[in-house]
Amino acid sequence: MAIHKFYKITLVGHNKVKEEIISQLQKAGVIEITEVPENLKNISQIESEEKIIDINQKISNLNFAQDFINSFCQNKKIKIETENVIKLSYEEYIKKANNFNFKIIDNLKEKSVKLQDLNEKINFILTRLDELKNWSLLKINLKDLKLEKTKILFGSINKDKFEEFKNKLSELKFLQLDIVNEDEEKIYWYLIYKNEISEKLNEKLKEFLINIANLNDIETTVPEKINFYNKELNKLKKEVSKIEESIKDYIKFYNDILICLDYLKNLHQREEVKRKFFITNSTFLITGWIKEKDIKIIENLVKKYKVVDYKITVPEPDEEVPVELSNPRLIEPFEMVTKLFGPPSKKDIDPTPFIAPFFALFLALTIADAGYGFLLLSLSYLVYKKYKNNPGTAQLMKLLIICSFIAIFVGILTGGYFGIDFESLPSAFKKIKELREKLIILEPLKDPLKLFIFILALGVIQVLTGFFIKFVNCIKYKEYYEAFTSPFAWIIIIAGIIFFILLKIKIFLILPVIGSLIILFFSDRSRNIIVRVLKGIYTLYGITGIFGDIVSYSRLFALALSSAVIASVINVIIGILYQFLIKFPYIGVVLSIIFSIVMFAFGHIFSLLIGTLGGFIHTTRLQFVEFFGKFYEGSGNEFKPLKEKFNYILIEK
Amino acid sequence: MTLGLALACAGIFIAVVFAGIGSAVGIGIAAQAAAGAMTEDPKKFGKYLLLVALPGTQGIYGFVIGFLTLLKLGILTGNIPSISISQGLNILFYDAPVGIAGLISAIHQGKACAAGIEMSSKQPAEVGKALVMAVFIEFYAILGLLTSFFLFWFGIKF
Repeated sequence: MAIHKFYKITLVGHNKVKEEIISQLQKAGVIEITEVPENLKNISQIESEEKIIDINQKISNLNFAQDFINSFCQNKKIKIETENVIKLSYEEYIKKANNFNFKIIDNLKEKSVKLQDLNEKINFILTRLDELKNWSLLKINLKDLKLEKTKILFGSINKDKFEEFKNKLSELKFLQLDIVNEDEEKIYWYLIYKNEISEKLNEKLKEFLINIANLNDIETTVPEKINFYNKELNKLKKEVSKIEESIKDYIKFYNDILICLDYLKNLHQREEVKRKFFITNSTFLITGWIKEKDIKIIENLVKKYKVVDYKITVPEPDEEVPVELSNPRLIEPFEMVTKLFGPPSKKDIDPTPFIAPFFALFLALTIADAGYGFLLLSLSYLVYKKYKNNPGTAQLMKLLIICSFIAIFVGILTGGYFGIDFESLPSAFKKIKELREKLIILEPLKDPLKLFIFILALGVIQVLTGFFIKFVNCIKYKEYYEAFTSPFAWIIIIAGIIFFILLKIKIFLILPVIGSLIILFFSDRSRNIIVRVLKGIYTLYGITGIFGDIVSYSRLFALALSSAVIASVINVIIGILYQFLIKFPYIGVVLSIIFSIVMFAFGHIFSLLIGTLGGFIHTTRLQFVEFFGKFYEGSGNEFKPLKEKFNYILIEK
Repeated sequence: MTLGLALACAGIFIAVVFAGIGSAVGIGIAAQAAAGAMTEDPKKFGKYLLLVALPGTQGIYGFVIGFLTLLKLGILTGNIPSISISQGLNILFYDAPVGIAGLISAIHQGKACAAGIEMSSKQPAEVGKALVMAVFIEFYAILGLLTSFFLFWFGIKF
């Protein structure tokens, strides 16, 4: 019902219109192009790779430019003047993309290399300056110290080790140790020694942890060198700011870069898809899938060309046809749950209409608070507004909006409003209290057992629905034997037990007995009666699994409970802090009110996010394991048409 | 403080601290895996977030039971009833299931989440399946929570 019917399409044409046809097909976005059969593929001409390589190169260049401008603006705290999406007409889009000047990117690359180079130099000087600052008291010209018969060593050592160091060195002749500088930790010294003792000296030095400073390249005094470096640094910094200033001129091209990126990605898709074609010297052939209602579009398209023709055929029964779900607007957001598991395979029905009510109700039950429902509604609406053009996010938000409406409803029925304890409210709120009381049918924290049973009952309903769908599906495919020995038998077992528990009439116990007998003797079709019964017993043992499935729904109760308790915890904490803060003289009232409001907002938003996260995951799991396990395979292929995709722009019609 | 009250407080301790330790260790394991996987693609942060946060629920369950016990004992309002030793022991055992089930399940869930993160770093589309597998473990923490809750709700009478 909710799955589109697909036909096979074969399209042939002359090579001179090939590019045009591909563009038109991409723009129409109605055909999923499949690989041509293997025997044709082998004799097909192979498209040259050069074009794709060129496009890839351009895309990576544009990505570079995008990242470069982005990070530049982020560092400089410049706001790029671009909207969430760029709106323009199709003609403008093509024109802008074709006229894009790739010189811009070359220039940006050049500037980025220069900047990198300059920054490296700056970093070198900065580390050098850091080293030298401890030696700035050394006012001798270092060139004069370079003599033939002596060597000089500059170094530093921890203060507490210095005495020991000095004593050790005094054992040697022909050397002189002088202190240059000291700071909190270290003493900076230099050592002049005769060449002949260098080996002995090295032995001694090895015993200590010393840092050797590299001042050998300095031909002047240290302060002079520092001065030189500082001048150099200023020069480099000026150059950097000059380049950065020139980069600012490129920010205005940011939008064009994005437009061109979208264009090239679509071009890339067109080139990629050509590999699936069958191409001869003068013709090309495309095979693919098309929906019944879209055939008209192709007919109109082909009419315009004299050298193109197409044929529609019905798929063979054993062929893997792609799947596209189509559901009414209210159910459509739940398709994402189905797709998360896997689109329906050939024998499956689309489960979306069945999971939609359960999913919405279950998620609402885990929230079970009108205040939270309202909060979730506003938050998801805001996100939806912002990310309207992102199909994935938009669909998720629509789902949350639907669920939050039901959560508000459930919240009113269970009397949850931000977890507020209405009994402790002052008597001024008497009217509100009475109104709330009237609307309540069940209060989770007062009557937990009732809610628990209610949730398990929902579980029974969903498990039964699963078996029922399986039953209908079996009938549809004329598998009558399977239909009666498996889903039907289970349905009467469960239903019989439930009726017996509810109505306490013993006659209903006959249903589970019949069901068990069917499973025991007929679930396996082997001739040997012993094997049959043994396998039947094993299948019947599956009742424990069904019991487990139903118990599994108790997670909804646990989640409802924990979100209700967390909500009231936040209020209790606010209450305690309010009592504490209000005692402050003068500012007490203001302080406590402001604090309560902030705490209320942040606390409940946090609690809502945590609660919804858990609720969403567990509700999804219930659909996948407890529900889909009964009837759904989900191994189909999603319909992926050749279609233009835009990440940054929106085409206005 | 009487011995009975001390035992009841030990119950709160088990529920909150044990489940909390489990969650902390579990999230730790998952977060390490996520940090490792993000070295290749930091943009996947959002995808891994769910898997990292999943072992955090046990700590919340423990806290829920601990808090309900606090409320019932009247520690927040100051009217603490006199609790006999056997009542205190009862409360201790009421609170234990959620703490112990949470402790062990959260650690194992953390490991499953870490494996799921590794899997989805190579198969980004399959993050949903990794989540579902990790959620299987959660159920046993939930059973612990339910047991504690019902024991506590229908068990404590002063």
